[in-house]
Amino acid sequence: MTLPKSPVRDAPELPSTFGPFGGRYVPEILIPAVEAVEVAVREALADPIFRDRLAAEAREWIGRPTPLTHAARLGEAWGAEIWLKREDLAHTGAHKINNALGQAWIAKRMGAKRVLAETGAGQHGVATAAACARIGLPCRVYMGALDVARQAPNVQRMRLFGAEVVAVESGDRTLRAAIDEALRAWAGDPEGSYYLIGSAVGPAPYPALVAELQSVIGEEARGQWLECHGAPPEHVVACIGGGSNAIGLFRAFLEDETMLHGIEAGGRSDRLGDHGATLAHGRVGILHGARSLLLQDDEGQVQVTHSISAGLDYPGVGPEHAELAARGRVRYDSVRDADAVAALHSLSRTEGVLPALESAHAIAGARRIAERHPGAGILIGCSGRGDKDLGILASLEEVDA
Amino acid sequence: MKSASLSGAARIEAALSRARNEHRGALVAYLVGGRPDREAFRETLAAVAARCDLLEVGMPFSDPVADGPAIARAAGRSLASGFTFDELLGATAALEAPTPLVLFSYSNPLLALGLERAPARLAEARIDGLVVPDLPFDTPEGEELAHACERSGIAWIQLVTPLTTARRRARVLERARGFVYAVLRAGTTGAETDTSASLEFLASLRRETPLPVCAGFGLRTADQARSLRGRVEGFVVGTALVERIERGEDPRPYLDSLRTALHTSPR
Repeated sequence: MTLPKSPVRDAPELPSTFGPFGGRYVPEILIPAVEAVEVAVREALADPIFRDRLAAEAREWIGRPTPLTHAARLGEAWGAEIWLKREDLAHTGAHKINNALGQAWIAKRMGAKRVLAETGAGQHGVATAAACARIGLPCRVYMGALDVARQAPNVQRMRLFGAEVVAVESGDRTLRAAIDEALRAWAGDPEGSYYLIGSAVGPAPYPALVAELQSVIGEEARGQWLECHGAPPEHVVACIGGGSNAIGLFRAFLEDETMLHGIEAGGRSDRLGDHGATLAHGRVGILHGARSLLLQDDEGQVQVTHSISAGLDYPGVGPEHAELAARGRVRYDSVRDADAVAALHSLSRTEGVLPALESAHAIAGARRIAERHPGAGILIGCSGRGDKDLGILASLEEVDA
Repeated sequence: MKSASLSGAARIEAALSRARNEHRGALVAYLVGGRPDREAFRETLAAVAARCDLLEVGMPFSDPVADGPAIARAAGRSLASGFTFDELLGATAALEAPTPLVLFSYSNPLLALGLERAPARLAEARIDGLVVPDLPFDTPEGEELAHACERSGIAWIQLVTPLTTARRRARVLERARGFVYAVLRAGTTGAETDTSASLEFLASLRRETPLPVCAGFGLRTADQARSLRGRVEGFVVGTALVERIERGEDPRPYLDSLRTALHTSPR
């Protein structure tokens, strides 16, 4: 029997910058806390007992490895060889749990009295609440008031896991405001709280840490693909908000000849404010502790974004993606709300898999790739399941009716 | 009086030592740019400048993570009304009072202005010092800004907190210009601070820097002002002043009460 690989590789180097992107831009009050996280992360990742425990929890509690599913009927319809990496089958229904569990253990090792987290769609909040329940740590989740309304089932799940959910009424009342508020709360208690950030964003070491904890997705997927096909896929595609599932999937393929595609939220139109396509339309800026690309105006004010999926509704992007875009290793593209919804329906009807609206962007991206490259082998990161989006889907049907 | 030949740092230090020579604590006031509205901002600036020793003006930012709810809300309203960096600089340039001015801005609006040329533009708008709450000195942008500030005579004011390690504190103080901004407690601006817990921190800072020290974050009452007399050169009041302006109140009586509390007779 082969055991799944540990989600953490040997003695990892955690870079603080990615080319000109990344870094650590936080208020002075948070500098000691961020430095403490960095030390704790390095120690934890180098500790074989920690890694074994994490690997065992990944297996027994998260349910890793997640399967690679051949989407034969969808592939037939779109004229390509399509496979899905099923992070929707990970415990709590999305890839977010890989990161939440690893970081919650780090928080515990550091002796944190409580965990703070932000959430957009609620998937990271649910994952963090579950991991904290499993480990026995108090947890407070900041969530934009708009997202609390549009992702109500996830709010209920967090509360069932014993987390306190704070509806953020400031700023744009979505993910960005939730991160602002979580950073403020951390600044208020930098010694007692651990900030468990949910995407590959934020000040160093978070982007590298999150990528490290998520790289299990790509490592498994590459091995599973090779087992079936003998050679790496021609295309790998994933959706991108902050970019944690994408970086986790892409990392294993960076040295291959595989074409990597990151799909951002194209929203309603290309107009600023109508989308979340930071890599397509953003300019260099500093937000949430890192230098990266940002959707901003000429005054350096960060702009409100739009996406049908709360998880992609974010004006920034992880610094490693900004660097991969700058050197052309990953091709970034965007998909409109309507195309994502259509792709969600296609996958649901052909394969009996209901993806999250976030993941549906990757599926729509794969359709485009299939049109350009008939017969190509395409691996799609199915980052989460769509049960949380039933309310949104129902309201769309009412509009159509 | 403002002298063109002095650097911003020298003007700030002069204002703070004048207060010390007069045996009183200096009052440092903070205003959100563009409030209570775009028209009335200039008048408010003049009224507050006439009652304080040093005036900090905040450039509103969409994501003010170092600020508490009161200042964040005021900044949001200012941006929603269309307030811009140019408008802020126009207002400071037109200010007649000799009170030294400090701009408080997050990194990203300064980045949009261009770090290389931003300090020169601030100097033209008669600004003397700069606080950037989310830009550590030990970043590429921090180094670039420090050089540009030196060239234009803008004092880049550094923040020190009770949690800053001794080693880092030495490096921060080396780079500090104008005054040292002592953050009295963890957290954002606004919530009230127990000043007695900070006295040791302030005393050790005083031993480590020849620069004046101004204390801020969570200062709002005359009692707090009295408790800090003689311990620091300056007393920064932000949120409590901003709240009054947001409520449409005349801020002058409040500032006068703080001035009175900061007055002390020689021992």
